Amino acid sequence: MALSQNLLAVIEAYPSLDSNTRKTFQETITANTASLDDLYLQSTAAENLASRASIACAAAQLVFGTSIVIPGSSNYTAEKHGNWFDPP
Amino acid sequence: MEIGSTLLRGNVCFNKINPLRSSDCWLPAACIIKARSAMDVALALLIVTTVHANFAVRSAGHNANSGFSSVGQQGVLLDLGEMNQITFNEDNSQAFIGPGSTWDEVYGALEAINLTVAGGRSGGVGVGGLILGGSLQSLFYCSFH
Repeated sequence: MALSQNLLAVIEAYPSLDSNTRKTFQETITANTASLDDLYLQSTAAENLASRASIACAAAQLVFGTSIVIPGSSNYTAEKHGNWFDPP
Repeated sequence: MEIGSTLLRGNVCFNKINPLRSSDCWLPAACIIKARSAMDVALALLIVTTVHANFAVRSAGHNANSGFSSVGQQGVLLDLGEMNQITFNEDNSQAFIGPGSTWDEVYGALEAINLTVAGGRSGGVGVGGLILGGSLQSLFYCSFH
């Protein structure tokens, strides 16, 4: 079964999902059926884990949405902190 | 119910929930799926397993062992940090605690109704990881001394 159909089946079978959330997911997945199923086909031919991870990320974006990208964000340094092995 | 979201590397929010804790204990994932409900978790797991991608799950990410609560660029991180609800039933006889809660949050909520739980010894430890992996627990410590 294609990825989109599997996702819709999980949503349909989920017992305690409110109707608005169910509808939102269903509409999102239905609108992206072709893309999700194409990603699944790509995964069957993916040759390494990095490719599979990229495909999973792309599919997750279609289902969950995304935020905006800025490579090398300054937050990386600002948020840096250590642990007991590697204190700051 | 708010649905989850996906963060790609370089996203301004990506680094806020994926700070460099050390050079190897929080590996930089290809992307982070921020789950907000069990439904999100179910869908995220379906996606990563269907395409046979590596993945890791993080509650609070206390475990410093490489790969335990993080995954490198060859995988997807499922972050449960926003599943941090702590609620009680009507007579406070049952608590409903999200896996993204930290133990200091849990202790604080339970203390307000004169209860406690044998949770993590360190407050910043996530509920999900400690319950699944075991760790040092405050009440157990008390019984040793």
